[in-house]
Amino acid sequence: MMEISLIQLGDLKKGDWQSTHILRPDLKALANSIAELGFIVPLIIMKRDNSIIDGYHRWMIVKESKDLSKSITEIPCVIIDCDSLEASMMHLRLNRTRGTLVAHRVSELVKKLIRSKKYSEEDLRHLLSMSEEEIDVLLDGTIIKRVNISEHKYSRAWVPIEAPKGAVEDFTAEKPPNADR
Amino acid sequence: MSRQRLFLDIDCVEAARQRIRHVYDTFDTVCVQFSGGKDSTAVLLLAKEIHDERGLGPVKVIFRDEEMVSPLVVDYVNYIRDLPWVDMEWYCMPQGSEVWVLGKRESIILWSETRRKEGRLCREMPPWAITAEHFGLPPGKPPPEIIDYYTMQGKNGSTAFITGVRASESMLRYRSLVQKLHENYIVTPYKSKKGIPLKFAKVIYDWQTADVFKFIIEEHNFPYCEYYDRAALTGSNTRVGIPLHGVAIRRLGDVISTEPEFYDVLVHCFPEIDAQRRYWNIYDYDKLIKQYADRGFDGVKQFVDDFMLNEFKVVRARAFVAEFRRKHAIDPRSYTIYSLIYQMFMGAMLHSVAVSPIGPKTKSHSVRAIEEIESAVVNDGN
Repeated sequence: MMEISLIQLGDLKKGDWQSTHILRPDLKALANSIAELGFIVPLIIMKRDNSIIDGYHRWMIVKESKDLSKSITEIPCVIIDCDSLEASMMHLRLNRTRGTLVAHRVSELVKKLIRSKKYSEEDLRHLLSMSEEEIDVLLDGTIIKRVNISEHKYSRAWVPIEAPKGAVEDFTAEKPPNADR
Repeated sequence: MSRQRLFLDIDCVEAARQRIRHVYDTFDTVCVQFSGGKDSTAVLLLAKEIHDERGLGPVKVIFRDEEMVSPLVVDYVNYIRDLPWVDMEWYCMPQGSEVWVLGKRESIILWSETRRKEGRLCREMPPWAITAEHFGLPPGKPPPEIIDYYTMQGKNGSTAFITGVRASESMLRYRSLVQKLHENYIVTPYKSKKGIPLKFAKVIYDWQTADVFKFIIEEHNFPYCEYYDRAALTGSNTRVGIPLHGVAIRRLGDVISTEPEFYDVLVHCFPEIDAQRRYWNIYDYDKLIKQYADRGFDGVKQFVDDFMLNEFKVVRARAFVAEFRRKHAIDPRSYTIYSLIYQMFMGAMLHSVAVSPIGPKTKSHSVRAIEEIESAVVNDGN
């Protein structure tokens, strides 16, 4: 039987197995979500000392926010009776199996939300912490826009010749958008 | 004196039209070698223009299906195959390839019988495919000749395959396109058996990516493979080739962001690649090359032993090393061990490309600069 209890904010602590990192823009979106919806999904903690197995970042956001820590003093937690090694394993198992957002599906969803007029681009900025650029890409991120073909003029043709160095232009190879790839 | 580019007073599309007319005037049979990518789509449309102009009937198209082809690309190739003005030959020939995992290469066979029996093929061959059995060869074993030898069978007289290779894709491709001064875009396929009357015609060699899309969309209002819009969304690479070889394996993240279901298929067929996805940035090829380069020519020998997986590659690699070694003895600063291994890693010696020195802004150039500074510091210290 699963045990779920409301635990005081100050009684929870970070587990020494913590191995995930949430980037700052995503933390902001997570904070907005908690402010509006609260804790829809409980944290998972170890019974012995209330160390957080899953949900550390949500807890930390509330703890460090003056506003949120005033309104949220207790957090729903699933309490697991395990030792720290089992807790470490559970932390890894939970985090290794998180789904990945697929960009083109996110793009379709965002277009649907905007078309519905229930949500605006301002909502996307606020609720999902999206930048102007990201919204632009998601709403119209086709290759046609990226290479800007309407503005583009065809390149000049060329032929190879044997000539003194520097007599004509240097060659430049196209690079992938992310040079590290 | 060196190879340079002389820019002409016409744009690249007009030049490509002139080149393709010349190819049709010169060869008895002309086929488009189609991959499903943007470049071969542009070439296909150029061929259609000349077929319409001269009333030549359907364009002959060759598609070499290399099994690990993304579903989006397969759908697009099927769409092309169904066009009334296209006469496509779809080949599913077994051939050697490689999978790269955490700094190691493994040899694999595309369309392998073993994997088919184990249910680990990426997909089934389509019923219309031309296979090894059509040539009286055993299924699932790499054939004795290069695949082009088989795809050109049954063609009349001298044959040209028009390809979408472009110089701006890489320095290797650029070099292959400036080696000849006359008809630089008509080349003999590498590893070609003597006496096979086949040439490759790279008619869009001087195009840029934007030229390709502008031509496809604005001049022909023709659909391109959906993969490109997905790749544009995620800033992914815009190449549709096999994603598991040494360089492309670094783009596994692109496969996940564009077609996660395809990634699942790849993992089902090659479970070992998942480790590469999780830790790909730790095992990049720069570090790997440096490990070998630090050991001088002993490291080069070891690299050839470790990475050249068949006798053909070993022989080509040794010849490449020998030529490089001669130049290294004369000018070690321009012909560094790192650049030798890097060029072999990229398969330069398999594409009949001559040994090349390192240039400014290259990795080897920076490595050399750092080594010189460090060496000066050590000498000063002494």
